Amino acid sequence: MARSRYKSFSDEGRCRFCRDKKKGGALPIDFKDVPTLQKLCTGQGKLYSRKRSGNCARHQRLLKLAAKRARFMGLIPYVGQ
Amino acid sequence: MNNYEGFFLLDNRESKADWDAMESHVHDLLTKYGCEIHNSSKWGERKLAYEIKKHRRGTYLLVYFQADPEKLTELRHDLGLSEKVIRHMFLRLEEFPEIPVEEEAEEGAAEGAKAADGEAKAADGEAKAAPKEGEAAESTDNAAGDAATEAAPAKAEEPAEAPAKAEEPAEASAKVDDTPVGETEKEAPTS
Repeated sequence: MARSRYKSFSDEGRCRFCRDKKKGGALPIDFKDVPTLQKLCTGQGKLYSRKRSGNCARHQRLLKLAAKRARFMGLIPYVGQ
Repeated sequence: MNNYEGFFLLDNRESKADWDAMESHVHDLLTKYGCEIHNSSKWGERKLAYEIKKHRRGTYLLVYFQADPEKLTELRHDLGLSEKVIRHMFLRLEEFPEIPVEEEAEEGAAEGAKAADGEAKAADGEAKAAPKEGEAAESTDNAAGDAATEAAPAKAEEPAEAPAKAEEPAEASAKVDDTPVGETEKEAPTS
């Protein structure tokens, strides 16, 4: 299961935020968007690597910033669940 | 004057007791330092990801306001002194999001993103496809189950209305014919 998901991201994944932009979403990554942040975090609360999440460099940086803000406000954990 | 987004984490107990007082407490602090409040809304109450100052739950307040950047330091200091405000964060914005439209747009975008994720996963994972079929089956089962529940009361009435007996079994059997899948399930809960 894990392996197939891993493959899917590298195969066609690309950046999910760029994908949303193409569909007309074009929203910046918001630190208040907890479900999205949680999707991109491991069970330990770390962000998935770019290789794993398929994000482009720019969006990974923005995501990093959003995650740090969300952690400060107690929306997502710094560590563990 | 710059545009800011203020995000406040407030004491949950006091917020529950009197939300208006808490909101006005923050607003008073903001206006004290010459902030012009553009929009203010309760973001929601939730469990904190980790304990902050012995608080396990908190209520969030989202305020869009205009402020003089030089006065923001003093405002931060004052907020730090307040015991009602557990944490606060100011983000500078180029422009305020359009509030009434923005909420809908955000929801729409979120749904869109979810849908996109769903599509991607469905397209990729073979394993994912199987649960989806399962879901579909479940939904049909549920539909059948609803029919079954409709049929069930009719069955329950049967013993009570003895004269109507001749008609009702016929109806029940007709329903059974309509929903062959649900039939087995229907009998299980009623018996």
